[in-house]
Order: sequence, then structure tokens, then C-alpha cells
Amino acid sequence: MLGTLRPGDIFGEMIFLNRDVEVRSASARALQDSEIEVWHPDDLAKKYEEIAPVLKTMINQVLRRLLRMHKLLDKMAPRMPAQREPPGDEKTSKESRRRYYRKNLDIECDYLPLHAGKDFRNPMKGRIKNLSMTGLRMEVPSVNPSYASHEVGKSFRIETVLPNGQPLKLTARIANVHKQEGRLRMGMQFHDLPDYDGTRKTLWFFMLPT
Amino acid sequence: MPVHPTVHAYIASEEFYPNDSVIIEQGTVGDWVYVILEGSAKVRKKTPKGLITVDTLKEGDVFGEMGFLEGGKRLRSASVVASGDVWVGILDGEKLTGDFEAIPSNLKALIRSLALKLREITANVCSLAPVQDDK
Repeated sequence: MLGTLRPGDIFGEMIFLNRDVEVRSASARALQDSEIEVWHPDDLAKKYEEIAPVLKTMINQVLRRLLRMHKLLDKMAPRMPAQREPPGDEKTSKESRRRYYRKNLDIECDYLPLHAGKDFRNPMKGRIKNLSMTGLRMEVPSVNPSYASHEVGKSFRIETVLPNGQPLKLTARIANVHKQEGRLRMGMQFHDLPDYDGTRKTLWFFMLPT
Repeated sequence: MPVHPTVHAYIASEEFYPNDSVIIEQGTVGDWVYVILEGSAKVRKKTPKGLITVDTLKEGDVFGEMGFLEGGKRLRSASVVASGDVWVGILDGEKLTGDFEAIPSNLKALIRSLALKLREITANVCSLAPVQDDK
């Protein structure tokens, strides 16, 4: 755990100020019910564009140092697994070492091989078990590999609707597969999330602590 | 990395520091912001365990900006010591302050929060870092 946020504290600014960073460098999770004021990134971005370039250069440098310090701290800090992940049903020591916050959920999704030809009309069904800024875990019936290969490295187009009603479409590749009780459990890593269609925004608003 | 053109335009004067001389002293009051024009310098933090080098600055790097971004006069959070002969540029403080004041207040809060986080996390890293053997 890196720190505790208190009333008036700001978080999420690192990803806002640094457009090059792919994912949030740390995850924020509500310890108690919290009220959060959300600043819309578009408004802020417009204002940010107007500030003096010299200040942007300075801010970028602070960000680089901050990221470096985060990495250093991550290497040195003693692990506190109990505080790093919410109490989940499938907690393993590997998962408690994870760097980025994952939200557990259980929603249905449709998915297709990324380069499926015309002969692949009906998408397969799976269930998304957790979601982070970088990937997800999916469980699918073990018959699915008979329709398309589910080996490590294969990519799929995934479509679902998040519990908050937001549709989510993205592509991901299989990072690991385990067979368990007639199901296939797959760890999947997102391809680059496109910015233009709001996918990234949808995802990180969903990942905000509720 | 050469000095960024946006920074270059703000250089008000230049100063020379020979090897091992102190450019900024931790714990003193100061609000000048510098940029390395030539050479390199070490950022060192005094801790109860001893001196820890937290960063190495190269040509084009800006330093001394923490207090400025956090707003108000603050004590220097670390020392900066010349590592070899160094030329630094001193940035025009009035111009910088004017630019900073022009920023909308919620964005300013965001930037302050960022600087504060860097200050805190650096202190954290120092408290966990193994003692180094440099003077």
C-alpha cells in the first residue's frame, strides 16, 4: 500500500497529466464509503492545453520522477497482501502480488477470434470474472476451443455491457489458460486500448472505487 | 537531452559550479528554479540513516521546481551537488510565477497534489532505502 487518501486529496491526476502512461500507476480503493468529486478529463484537458509550455515541461519532469519513485518503492516496500486486494473469492498469493487493481465481477460477454472469417457468424459466450486497466479474466465452456483455437497468444474481439450500463468493446490476447471443472479459465491482456472511441475512458471510470 | 526550448526562453542568468560544490542546500529557503545547461549534478537527501542520492540530473533537467509547484515558500527538500563542473541556468521567477498564477484553480490543485506526492514518495523511498556509501 502506498498511502491513504483523506478528504480533499486528489487522485487520478497522474494518468491525466501524463498521456504517455498506459495504465494507472497505482490503484485507489475506497476504505470507507466515500464521496468523490469527479473532474471531467475533457474540461481539464482543455485548460491544460492553455497553460504555459514551460510549466508543462516542468510537470512532465515531476511525473517522470514520480513514476520512477513509484517503481523504486514498489521494489522496496514490504508486501501487505491483505490490504492490496479486496477480499475476493479466488485469492491466491500470485493475485495478491498484482500491481494493478482488479475489480471482481461476473458478467456475460460475446467474443470472436480477432481475424474470424465470414464463416464465423455466431460469437461464443463467456463470463468475465474480473477486470483491470490492462486485462481481464474470462471463463468459457470447455467446448469453445472446438470452434476456434484458445491457445496462449490467440487474440479475440470481446463485447460486453458493464454493470453500470456502459457497453465495452475491446480486443485481448490470451496470456494463460487453465482447465478447471469443465471450464476454461483464461487470463487475457488487452491490446492497446483505443482512445478515440472512449474505451479507455469507459474502463477507467468503471475502475474508480465505488 | 538538450535544454527544452520552452525552458530556454525563461533563462534569466547563468552560473558556474565547480565539481562537488553545492547548488541547492537542503533545509534552506529558496524559490529559484534551475536548469542544467552543461554537466550533471546529484540530488541528495539527508536522512537519519545518512545521505542518499535520489536522482542524477543531466543537461536539460529542471530542478528546484518542487517548492514552486507546491506554492508558497518552502524549505528545499534535498540538496543538489555538482558532479563535475556544471553550468546552470536560473529561470525567471517572476515570469514563472505569473504563468503559474494564470492556471485555473482546479488544475493548480492537481499540479500541487502531484508535487506533494513526489515529496512524500521520495521521503518514503528514502526511509526504506539501504544506506549508501557516498559522502
